[in-house]
Amino acid sequence: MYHKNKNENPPALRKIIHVDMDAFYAAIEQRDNPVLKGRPVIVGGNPKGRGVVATCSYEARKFGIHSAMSAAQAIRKCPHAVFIRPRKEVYAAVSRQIFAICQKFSNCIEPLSLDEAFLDVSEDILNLGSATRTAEKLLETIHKHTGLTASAGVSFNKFLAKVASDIRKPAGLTVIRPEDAPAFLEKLPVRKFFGVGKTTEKKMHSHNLFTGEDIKAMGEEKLKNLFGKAGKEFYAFAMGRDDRPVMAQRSRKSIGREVTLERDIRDTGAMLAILKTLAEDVEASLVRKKHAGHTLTLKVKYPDFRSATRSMSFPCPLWRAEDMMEKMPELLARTEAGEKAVRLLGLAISQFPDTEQTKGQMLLPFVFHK
Amino acid sequence: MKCRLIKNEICEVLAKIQGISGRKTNLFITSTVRLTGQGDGTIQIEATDLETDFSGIYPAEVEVPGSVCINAKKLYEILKSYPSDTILLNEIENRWIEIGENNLLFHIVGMNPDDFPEIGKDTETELIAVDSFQFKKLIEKNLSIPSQADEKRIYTQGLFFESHTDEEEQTFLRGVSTDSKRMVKYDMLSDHSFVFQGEEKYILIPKKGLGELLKFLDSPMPVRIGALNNRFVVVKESEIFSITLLEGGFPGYQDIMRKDPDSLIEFKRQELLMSLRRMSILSDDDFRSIIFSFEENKLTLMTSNPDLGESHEELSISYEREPFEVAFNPKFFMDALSLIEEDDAHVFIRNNQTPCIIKGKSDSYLTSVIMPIKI
Repeated sequence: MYHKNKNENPPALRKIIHVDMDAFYAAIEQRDNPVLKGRPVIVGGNPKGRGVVATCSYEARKFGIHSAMSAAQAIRKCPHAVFIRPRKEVYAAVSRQIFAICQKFSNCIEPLSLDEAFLDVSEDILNLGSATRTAEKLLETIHKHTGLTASAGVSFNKFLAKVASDIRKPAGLTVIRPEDAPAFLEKLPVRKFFGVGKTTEKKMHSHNLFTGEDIKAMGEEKLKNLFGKAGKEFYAFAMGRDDRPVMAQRSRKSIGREVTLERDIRDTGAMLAILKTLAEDVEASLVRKKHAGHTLTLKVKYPDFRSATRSMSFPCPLWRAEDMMEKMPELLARTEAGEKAVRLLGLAISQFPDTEQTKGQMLLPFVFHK
Repeated sequence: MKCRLIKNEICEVLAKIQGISGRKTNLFITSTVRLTGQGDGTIQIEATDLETDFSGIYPAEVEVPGSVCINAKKLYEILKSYPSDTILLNEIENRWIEIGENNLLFHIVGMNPDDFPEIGKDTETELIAVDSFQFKKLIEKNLSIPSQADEKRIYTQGLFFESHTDEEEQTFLRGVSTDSKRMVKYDMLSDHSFVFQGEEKYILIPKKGLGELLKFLDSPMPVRIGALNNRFVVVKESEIFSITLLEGGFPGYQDIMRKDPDSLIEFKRQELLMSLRRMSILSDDDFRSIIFSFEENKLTLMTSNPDLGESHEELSISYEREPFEVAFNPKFFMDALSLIEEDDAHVFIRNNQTPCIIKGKSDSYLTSVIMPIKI
């Protein structure tokens, strides 16, 4: 029954590029300070404290260092690594430069972070003839203007484009054509599927799901029973279907703060005190950016590095620290904090009402010539 | 380089290029102008922000040919305040430049003229002559919708420029601009079709550069325009203005501009404009809408701002369709009405969901479109 809609009005084949800068922060540091070239460079927190690795150069990756690893662990793996405190403004400026370049290649760009974006190039605005050629030219232009390398994946949906960009890193370009997709997906390890992290991977393995082929063979119904809504998505991905559009106008999603504590704490009163200072910071940021959001999210990380988030939504957008703190004990009670110690606390406000939409201004019903 | 400049003439040019050299780029040297004294008794002045380039040639007494680069803002201020009609400019050594003579001397450190970016002054293309006044108007009407700094959609950053011929074999140059909430189109009659390069049927010219160009379109002298190497080129006597074009598509705008004759409502332009001005007194950034309530032969305009209060005004109009309500951003509506150059305005408005078209009663050259606000 799940084949019901198959082949009914197949959507026009899209062309999507996923571009991802190679070791972005570390590459900028190496570019700006030639002494660092060829050396293991780690950008992130203090290795003597409890910070984590934000990015590390490819030289550092050889030692098994990866982002989000604790800086202390990283220095044990590679004692001669150069630790650099992040220069966020510099990275943001380079990021702006890169997005400006992307804009020359597509009218529809979805930034995922400072160093990563989807470009819908179904419309060949530069008349380069193919998406592959566009991607080549994009990588070339980024390198020419910033001195940094990026990798790109080209395919007909977002999922495949993203998986592809990771295949030939650094400075690589991988194209997955529709005719190659089935064979590619069959061999793809489940971990590479969008939405599969460590936990889901374990669960999949326990059900003998190791590759896309296994997912396909299991069928949609059974996956749905096992993984809920996500199961349905896994099946669609395995079948090469992903209709998520490249969202050009994605604006800021959330404003938040988090802090890795000097030492683990267990006292909820102390946690609330720390959260209060974070809330005040978030309030200041919200006020500065003239934002207020409908959703409040609390994040905690336990000493075993597992983390949990709990959120709450409000009909009226929130921006005052006081209002956030009023609900905080309730959110905190919904985590294991207190029973367990925590090593990180964070909170964020999200779901900003779109300014234009709140004011109700409608947009012209343009039709784009594709 | 050593030459004597004519104060008024050079000052006038420097005033106009401040917008170009004042824009921050990643090259420090773009804040300077390059002055090149040439053997034929002329001086060339060049400025660029790496997107918009200007180059002009003016008479000067050149003693020693050569080039210097001087901070554009400071050079302008010095020349403007200099108390005589001609000013001596003399490069002494290591890029130090002396401006002035006798009892008044500025000693200015310049930059290496060889570092000045290569700028677009090539005019080896087919240029067409256009009426300065009309062309200026085309730009001005289009710039009534400014580009927004945080806007990512490329087509909102530029003026869509094309050339077309109607059934009566009349040739028009057409400019269209939009910020995706509203749109304006202006046609100017032209003796020639614009000559695009290659397969292009239109170009997208950045509004930023056009804003700078406007300062140079101040005389009735015709100008020549064309496209070359991905740039829009404007030549006025010995001055060349060149703007790097935007690369990107432009939405199909024609369908949106199609008017439904049954939806026409006629207004006295000035009367409606004044009324909108009164109603917008109580609107502000957070409550930026005016409700138009149409009933038989009557329009009621209403604003309501929870922080301030309410206002309404009734206008008698000729209207016989079903009553309905629609809301607009008053600024958009007033901007559109202000562009019209005649007494009667035609407003085509079907319901509160579709684009509203605003134009002069007899003028078919100018058309504005605005989208309503949800009530």
